Amino acid sequence: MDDRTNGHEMDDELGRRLEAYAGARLSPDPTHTARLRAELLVEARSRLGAAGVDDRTHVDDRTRADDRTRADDRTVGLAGRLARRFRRPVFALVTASLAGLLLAGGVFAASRAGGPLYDARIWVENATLPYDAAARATAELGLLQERLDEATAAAAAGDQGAVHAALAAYRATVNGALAAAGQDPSRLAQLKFELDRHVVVLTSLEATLPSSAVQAIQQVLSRSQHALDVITAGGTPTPGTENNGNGNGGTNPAGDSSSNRSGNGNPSPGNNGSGNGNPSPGAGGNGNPSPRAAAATPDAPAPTPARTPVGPPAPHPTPKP
Amino acid sequence: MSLDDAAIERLVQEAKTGDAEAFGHLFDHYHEPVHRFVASRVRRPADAEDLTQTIFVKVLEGLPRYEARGIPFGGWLFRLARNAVIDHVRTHRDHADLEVAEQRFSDDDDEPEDAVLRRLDIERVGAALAVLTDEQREAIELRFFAGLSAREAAEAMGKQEGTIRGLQFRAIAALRRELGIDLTDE
Repeated sequence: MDDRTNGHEMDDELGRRLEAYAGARLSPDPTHTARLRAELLVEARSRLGAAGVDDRTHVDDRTRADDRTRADDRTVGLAGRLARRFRRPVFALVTASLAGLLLAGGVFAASRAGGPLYDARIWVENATLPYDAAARATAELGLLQERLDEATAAAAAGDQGAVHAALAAYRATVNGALAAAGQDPSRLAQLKFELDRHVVVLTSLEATLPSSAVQAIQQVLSRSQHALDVITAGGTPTPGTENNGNGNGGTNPAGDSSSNRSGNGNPSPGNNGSGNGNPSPGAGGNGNPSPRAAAATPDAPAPTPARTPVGPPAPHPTPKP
Repeated sequence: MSLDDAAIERLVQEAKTGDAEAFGHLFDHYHEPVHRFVASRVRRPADAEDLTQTIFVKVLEGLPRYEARGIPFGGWLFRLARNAVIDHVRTHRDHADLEVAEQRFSDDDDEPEDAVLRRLDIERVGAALAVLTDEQREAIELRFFAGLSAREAAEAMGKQEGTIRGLQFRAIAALRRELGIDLTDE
């Protein structure tokens, strides 16, 4: 401070008048000064990470509160100071964890049957199936069970959209499971066993669903029955039997599962209008590209043509043991 | 609160190492000068208070990065303050309006005639300051209202120390002239 302020180049009168002016118009309000000081010290402790002894002269209520806090700090000791110091990181960690949980919960909810990410989840599950034939067949059976569980849960919740989505995925999974079983007798037997069981569950489920869902379930039953027929016939699907509306025409083990899944009940228009005479409701040559129409398999063994949309479960083609 | 340069540097170092109380002492030393400088540049007292707070928060944020290297702390701090004022004026289309500022002196102890004379004199000083150029007025604000040294004022304004002295010399001459103060009278 070599030449600070008055008394150098300035005469006394001018200096006095400038000081009077500054004191009247530019000086801060003491109340505001004290409040600002208290706030800044709190901020300084937070940022600089230390609490010292305070002997300041500007004291107001908030400053005294600061003093009490600091006295508490001294009482609490190291543990208290550490807790205070780590409060911010812990808060940030908790906030990040909550955000992560919310995000994961949102993704989980969206990936449930009928959710906007359900198709993506199905795709990922299919894309991550093992290459080994035996392992793939086992995994397909697991997926089949999972789709069935989803449909059952959705039906119990009264969520028709989810029922439709789960059944469509189930239908595609039947194709995949059949393809994965290939010609292996033990895998085919296992698949047949599972399908038989599923048909019973689906038939009982049918009784509890409204008409639109019943149509979907009939299509699934039809597909399951067809698969059972294929297995009974020796595990070699007849050409075109897996033409699930996507025109790929068959159960080629190497490629059918994926192609059928990509169709997943969304055939290109006209594929189902192949003159199959399929009597199932909503299907058969009407050019309707809906999943419902897509399930109309050309050579499905007359899948319950007389089945009414609502009412008690109609007799279903009993799976052959 | 009066501190020499060495004491200020010591407080700065202590604050940088985490001593909030040292920062409190720096605040005590610089708050009124900063507020005076800001209040002379903005229109409303409330703006001056808010801006002063903003400046000290900036100081707090920038303190860990501050290194003396020949720059006095006061000069560094007032450069922050000056930039904050410039930003504020630019944002709010505000200009220094010395006549609008609220007067805060107490008339309680004065005779009514003295109080009126004081008010009149303060208004005359305000009018005289308004006659100065922007740079002259800023030099007066930093040197006499904020109490900075010529070196600190030069650092704050980004000018040479000699330039500040020249601005100050011409400003004082203009103020004397406007206020009718003749050195020969003293």
